[in-house]
Amino acid sequence: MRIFGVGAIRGLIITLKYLLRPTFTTQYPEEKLNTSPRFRGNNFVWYEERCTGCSTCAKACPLGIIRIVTHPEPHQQVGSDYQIDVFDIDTGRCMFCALCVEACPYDALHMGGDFERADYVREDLVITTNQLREGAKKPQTQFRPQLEEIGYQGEEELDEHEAGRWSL
Amino acid sequence: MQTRLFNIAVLILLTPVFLLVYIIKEPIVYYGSLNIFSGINFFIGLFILVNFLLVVTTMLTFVERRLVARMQNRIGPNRVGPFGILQGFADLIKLITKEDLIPTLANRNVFSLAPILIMAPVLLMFAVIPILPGFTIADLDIGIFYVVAITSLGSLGVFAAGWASNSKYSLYGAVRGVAQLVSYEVPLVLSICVVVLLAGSLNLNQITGAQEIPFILVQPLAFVIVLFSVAAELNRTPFDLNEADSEIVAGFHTEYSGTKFALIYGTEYLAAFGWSLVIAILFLGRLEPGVGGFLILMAKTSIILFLFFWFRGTWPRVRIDQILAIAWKVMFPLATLNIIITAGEILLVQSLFDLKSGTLLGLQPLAIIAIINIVLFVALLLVLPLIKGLGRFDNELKARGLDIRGGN
Repeated sequence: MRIFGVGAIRGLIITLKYLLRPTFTTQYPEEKLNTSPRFRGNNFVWYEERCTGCSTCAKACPLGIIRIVTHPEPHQQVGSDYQIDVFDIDTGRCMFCALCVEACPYDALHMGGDFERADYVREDLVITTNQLREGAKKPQTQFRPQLEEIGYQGEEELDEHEAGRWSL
Repeated sequence: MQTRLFNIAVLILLTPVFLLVYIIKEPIVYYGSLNIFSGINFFIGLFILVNFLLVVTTMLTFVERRLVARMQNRIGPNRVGPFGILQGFADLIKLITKEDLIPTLANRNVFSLAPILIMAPVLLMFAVIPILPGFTIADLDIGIFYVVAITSLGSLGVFAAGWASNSKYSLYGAVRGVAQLVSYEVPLVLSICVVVLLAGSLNLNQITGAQEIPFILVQPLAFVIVLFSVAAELNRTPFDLNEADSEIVAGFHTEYSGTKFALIYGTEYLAAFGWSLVIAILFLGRLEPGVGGFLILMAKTSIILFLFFWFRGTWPRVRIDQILAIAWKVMFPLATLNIIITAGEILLVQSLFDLKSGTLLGLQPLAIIAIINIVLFVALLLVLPLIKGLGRFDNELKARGLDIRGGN
């Protein structure tokens, strides 16, 4: 037997149920959602001790936004004959494809987990060498299976010995 | 400059309107043995009332946004003040300080007058609404008639706004508004007539006094018809065709901004509050004296308001042909039938209990009418789906010009 208006009342009951449910909204500046361990954030983690200045990352970059300046000076870094003067990444033009991370033969460059890098001027979007040196060393596991193997979730700081496939 | 002039114009135009109420009101209104609304107290009372109403309006915008947000699993505004309760005031300040634009080709005078024409009737409506037993600004004998008559004036403002904006969306909204109002006024008034029949008076005080049993139990059908007619008259979902934002931008107030928009937008909520108050008084039992009585009345009003917000969060908008079909093909016949049946029932109980015509119906006669009407209401709900042409798909296909039963 059909009763007039039952469908409409059923709809009302559904919204009433939703009214009593907890909300899904995250109050962003106060609380943040966890990102995936393989998250490709808009900063980078760079280990100067692992880097040889080989510029493979700069060559792999489809946009050519990694700028590396070196000069020969033997035995400054492990297995390297070059001293790195400049290592800049212009994230204003970066598309975060992580090809530079894939290309790095020494696991010196990793994706970072940060996503709050809005700025007022384009120039401020360039990650400078000093920022890379002093930034938090929380590499993400994008293209770094060795980090996933040890159950790393991209949340703690790792030093240059822990981050790579082989120890220095 | 324009805005300031406009604000002064609002004040100047609203003052005679209140003076009018002062003239037409009964000379003395008593609450207990105290003559409250006379002389200078009248203006103090008005000041308190109007400010109370404006604060309620501002709060209602916040409450609706929060409630509808929760129905969609969102949180809603929660930034201004604790839980965001000052959101409405923040919006108000923003709107008042905004630039007051008038389109080049608009009719400037009518365009500026329209928000006042929309606001004034709604404020006037509160003159006759009793908040406590016998506690009104104007204790009119034709109270409910006055409410219906004065709120209909608002559609004049709506049409003025739509026409003066010189915009196709505004005009469409206004035309729809008038069509809707003409349709829904009829079942609304007929259903209110049923209440008047039971109470034997048009005075809102006497209507509340007559409710030995709340009239929602005595007249469930009339309550439903009044609820939906009022929803249509307030342009609330599912009948918000006036300002259907997905079809005609914002309807008749597309071109409005700043203070004028604040007036129009606030009026919607003010009217919702006023009509909820009227429905609570007509259907939800007696008024009680004292502060407790006021709080009980506000609770009843909040229930009706919650129903409107609930509908808004639940139901989609209906089309203009559906809206008129519901009014003329369903609600109008039902309201007419209801008024005839109720008249018969009143004659019946009068002969059963030896009541003279004109005396108040007591508890027992009302109970008998209530039982008959509830049975009839349930029967109606069972019979309505059997009527051809009322089903969803029938109407849907008819609207597309297709015959539902074979052929073309």
